[in-house]
Amino acid sequence: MNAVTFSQILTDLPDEIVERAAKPSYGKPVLRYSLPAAAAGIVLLIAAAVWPKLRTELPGVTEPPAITAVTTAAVTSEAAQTVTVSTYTAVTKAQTSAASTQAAGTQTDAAQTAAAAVTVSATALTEQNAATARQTETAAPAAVTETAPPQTVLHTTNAAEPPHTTKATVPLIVPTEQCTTPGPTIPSSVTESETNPTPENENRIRFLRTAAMMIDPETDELFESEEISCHFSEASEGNLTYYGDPDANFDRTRYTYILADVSGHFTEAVLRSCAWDTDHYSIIFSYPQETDSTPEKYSVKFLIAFPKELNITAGQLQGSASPVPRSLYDGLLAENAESVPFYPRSEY
Amino acid sequence: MNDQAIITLFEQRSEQAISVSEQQYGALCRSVARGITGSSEDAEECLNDAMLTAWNAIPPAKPKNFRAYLLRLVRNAALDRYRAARTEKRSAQQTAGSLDELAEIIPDGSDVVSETERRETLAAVTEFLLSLPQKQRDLFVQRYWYAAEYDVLSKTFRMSEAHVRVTLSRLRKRLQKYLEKEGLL
Repeated sequence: MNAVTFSQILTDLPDEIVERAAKPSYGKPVLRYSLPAAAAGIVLLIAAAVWPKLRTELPGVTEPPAITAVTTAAVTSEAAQTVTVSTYTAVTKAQTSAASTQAAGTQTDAAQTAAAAVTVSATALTEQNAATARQTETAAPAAVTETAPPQTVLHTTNAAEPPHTTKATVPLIVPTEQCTTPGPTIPSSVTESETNPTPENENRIRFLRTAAMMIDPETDELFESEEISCHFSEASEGNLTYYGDPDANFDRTRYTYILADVSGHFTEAVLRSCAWDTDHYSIIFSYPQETDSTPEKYSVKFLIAFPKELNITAGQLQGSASPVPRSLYDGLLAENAESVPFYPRSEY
Repeated sequence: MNDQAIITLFEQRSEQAISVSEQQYGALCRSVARGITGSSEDAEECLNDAMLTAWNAIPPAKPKNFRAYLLRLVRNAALDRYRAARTEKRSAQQTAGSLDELAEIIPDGSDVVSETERRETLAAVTEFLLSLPQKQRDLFVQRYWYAAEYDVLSKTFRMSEAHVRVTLSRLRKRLQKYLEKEGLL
């Protein structure tokens, strides 16, 4: 046998082999190009998913709490009932400076300011509400002067505004004549640059949020909770507003808890009210003034819990605090201390 | 026109059968023949010989796959011509590369092969080819059945020419070992 004979033998190969070879269809080597591309895509996805976590775990890098600025005017009525209204307003540099000045002011000034606020009657407040509501968002106060009620101290760490915050926009209420004067336009959010916080402001109030799990002691339901710490540099009065998911369809009165005394200091504060208001949860409190307190002493921790299945933990915490005289605090303590609803720590 | 219609023309002894066949498969047949003989003139004569053979064979022959049948006729004609040329010791430049490559693994022996040996060799080669991956099988058949050139194979299989050469070289060596193992070489 030789090559020609062998080739003649090949001539009789089966038709299926010969015909199949006649029309080979070999496209581009897909794997050669698609595999590296797919690998690169996977690496990018993993990097995108892991990097934020790694970033927060780096020493000295902490995830900023989602807080935007809120200006609050706390007004007390003759019955010592606190009405707190939150709003988003532009905090100009001047206002911030005024707040800082006020915070650094004498106790006498603070007492006078608070006393003036106490004299505002409930009726006047109602009228003020109506008048201010008509001003809508453009009805910011013309000026927050030395005669204004307790000044607002802001700590803005995140300019991002929750998508539903526009619902919560309420005109600022100031229990003085100045509030009727048209003021600057209220923006929908306040950025850190706008508030221009000074180191002093930054130390006034801080919020720390820690996700945690808990079980409802009564129903054994699993809850997603958020522990919210509020630190003050001095005796303060303020509020915390927790914005949950406004579209969440659940019975907030049943499924929302505020659990205090996580820090062990809350019993010294006065929790004056905590309730859902349309789309946010307001916590209003006062805190005593102690001259020899450490910063940790002025610490309040809240635990807000929601059923886990509601998945509404992506809430937005906003808050403010302002100095309050010891005399006013004592009065509030006497009237409201017993009504503070919280679970003992051992129950969660 | 499909193969069955062409066969019908052959059966009707219509000369149109030749023209249609050439029109439909002439290029492919010439390519195969040229790959074996290495000459366009020889390829043309091979095609004419194949057409004449088909004209004489159909009827009574009624091939199931007319295309493969015609190509086999062309291959045989081309191999006969190649053999004749080699016998006449014509220039080696006219010999086809594919047959030279096969000569590397097939020892030069007698042209006469018994029908039994022929059948066994065909069965062994068929089994060997069926054991190959589809791409390697197609590559082997394209080169040693259709006598395709390397540049054509490179484009068809989207491989570099060097890659084609290396692959075919390995396939030849594997075939040689396989035939030796079967006692056919």
